[in-house]
Amino acid sequence: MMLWHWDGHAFAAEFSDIERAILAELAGQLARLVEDRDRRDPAVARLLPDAYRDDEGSASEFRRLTQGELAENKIAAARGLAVRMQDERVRLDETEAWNWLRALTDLRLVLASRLGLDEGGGPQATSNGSAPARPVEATMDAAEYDAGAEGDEERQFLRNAFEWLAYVQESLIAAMDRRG
Amino acid sequence: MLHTLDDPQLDEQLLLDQPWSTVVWNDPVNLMSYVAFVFRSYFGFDAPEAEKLMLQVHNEGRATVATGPREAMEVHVQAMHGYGLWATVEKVPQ
Repeated sequence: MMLWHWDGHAFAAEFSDIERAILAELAGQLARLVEDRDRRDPAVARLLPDAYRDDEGSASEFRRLTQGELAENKIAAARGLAVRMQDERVRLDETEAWNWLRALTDLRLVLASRLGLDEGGGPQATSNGSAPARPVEATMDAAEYDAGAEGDEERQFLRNAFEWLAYVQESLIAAMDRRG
Repeated sequence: MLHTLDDPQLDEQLLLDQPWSTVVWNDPVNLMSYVAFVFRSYFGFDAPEAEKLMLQVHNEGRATVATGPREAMEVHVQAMHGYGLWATVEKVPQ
């Protein structure tokens, strides 16, 4: 069964109560994370990456000129997604659908960073690929994902959410692609 | 007419006039379908070209998706960051 489909007027999908609660919670956390803009947090650094390698002057100037707008757009997309979780049936026009794709991407980037699943990419990639995974508990603290749960359970929950978000995104892309 | 980025004649000519490039880097998180979809939607590549560039990012770790003036490349890179893709502005080696 496909999650998303074009209903003749909009891209439409239905979410269960638990799915809506999870998506709204994660999207709210994402918005707060970008609002705080703590660049020492690797997840934030990945959401707002440097535009220049090996040129801190240009990277910092680019940041100064563009990062506010980039962050605002990300916050708006995350909040927009969270708001839609008030209803079980979601309908999106093309622009809203792209904002969903952006927010779903950012959510997966943060979860991957927390789970240590993001090693091996980007301009700083090393060739040996042997960087140790970050300790889970410490990274949970950074994300405020430490809602008192046991570390393993928390990790499993985030892992499941990560996989499910991929399904939600893949399904939306397929619906947009079919419509052309 | 569409040229491919590895067309040697086109490359030589482009590099003379347009010394900056937009490079998209691999990350193990973004879905391959999403990256190709963004390339099609934002840059206007047709599906085979978008797929080829996406696979280049995936397999080689990076792909040059545009060349041109520095300001234009900065606009592209900001847009890619908006999509959650990892992109940098690079000076094309002379």
